[in-house]
Amino acid sequence: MAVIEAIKTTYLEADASSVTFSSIPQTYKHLQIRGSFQDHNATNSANNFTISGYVNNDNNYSRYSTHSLRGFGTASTVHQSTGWIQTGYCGAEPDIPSYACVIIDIHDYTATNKKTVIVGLSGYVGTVNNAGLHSNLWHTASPSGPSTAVDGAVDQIVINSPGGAGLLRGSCFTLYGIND
Amino acid sequence: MAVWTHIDHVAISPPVSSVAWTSISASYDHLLIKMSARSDDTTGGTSTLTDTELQMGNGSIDTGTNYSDRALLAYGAGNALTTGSTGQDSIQRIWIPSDSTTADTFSVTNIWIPHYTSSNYKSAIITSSGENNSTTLYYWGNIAVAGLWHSTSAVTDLRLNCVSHDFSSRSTFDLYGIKGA
Repeated sequence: MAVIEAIKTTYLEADASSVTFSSIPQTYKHLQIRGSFQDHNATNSANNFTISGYVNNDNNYSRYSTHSLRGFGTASTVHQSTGWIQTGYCGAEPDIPSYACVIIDIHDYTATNKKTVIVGLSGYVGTVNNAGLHSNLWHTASPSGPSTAVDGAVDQIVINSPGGAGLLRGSCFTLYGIND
Repeated sequence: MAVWTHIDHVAISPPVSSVAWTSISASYDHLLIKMSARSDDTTGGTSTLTDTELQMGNGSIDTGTNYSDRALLAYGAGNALTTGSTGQDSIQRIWIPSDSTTADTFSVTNIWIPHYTSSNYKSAIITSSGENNSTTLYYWGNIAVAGLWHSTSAVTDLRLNCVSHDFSSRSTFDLYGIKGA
């Protein structure tokens, strides 16, 4: 078995609200997602748009914390919240054919005694430029969700554009499994 | 031939102050460490993040003042900063959560050492995130570190030190060798 294997690639032929990787095999040690993406909002935002990386069908940003170190336009800045998720920043439809890019890491994702930390290294050059390192912690599970244990193994990842209009056609994400 | 080779997996139990690899084969082109780590420091406050350091060597770990680094970092609102050092005995500031952060939270750390057998000085590029369900200053950190070992020798030895404390149980370390074309 190869050390790194592509589990699934999703290419959006049409605009979509989200991309879901479900039934993720529990046979690897680490997960990595490599993506190019853009929001399909009709206009750009002065603060860009963001993408998520929800786990285990707990798709509500209020149950995640996020901390971002980023270059934003000509400034270096920080964004932090205990009720938000962001693994990367992008622009909107007027900027195509420019798309943002991201590498998302989730280490030791099958552990049942660690909280899930989702880290994105992301960059975008367009109307509003961004480069950043974005960490996120799933700190509280939905009381009615399918997984009520934030220390559980990760078996699903959902990427959407919280605060945006959705993912633009042409966005593409590949999920990799990395063995130990 | 496979591009990626898994060289070693280290799972910490009980806590230890360092993790080392020796006699690393020269048959790859690049090295990668994927790390999920936490320290047992319970001090909190300005010590909520724990420093981890990287040392390299050929035949043994070089503990001389032969390392430099430069980091881009943040650990609170509005404080995206840069810092660095020269003449150090390690590549510094590979931040991990301490035992005063949100329970069961471990770092996501990637350490790349490209062309580790070349006759040039050895560069490393490192990203590490110490998450915490908090926005308090010092309680979380994201950092990107560029490190340099001032040696033209091939890297055969690596060591990660948890500064002044131990890596907690459940911390894991994976060393990969990656081939070029």
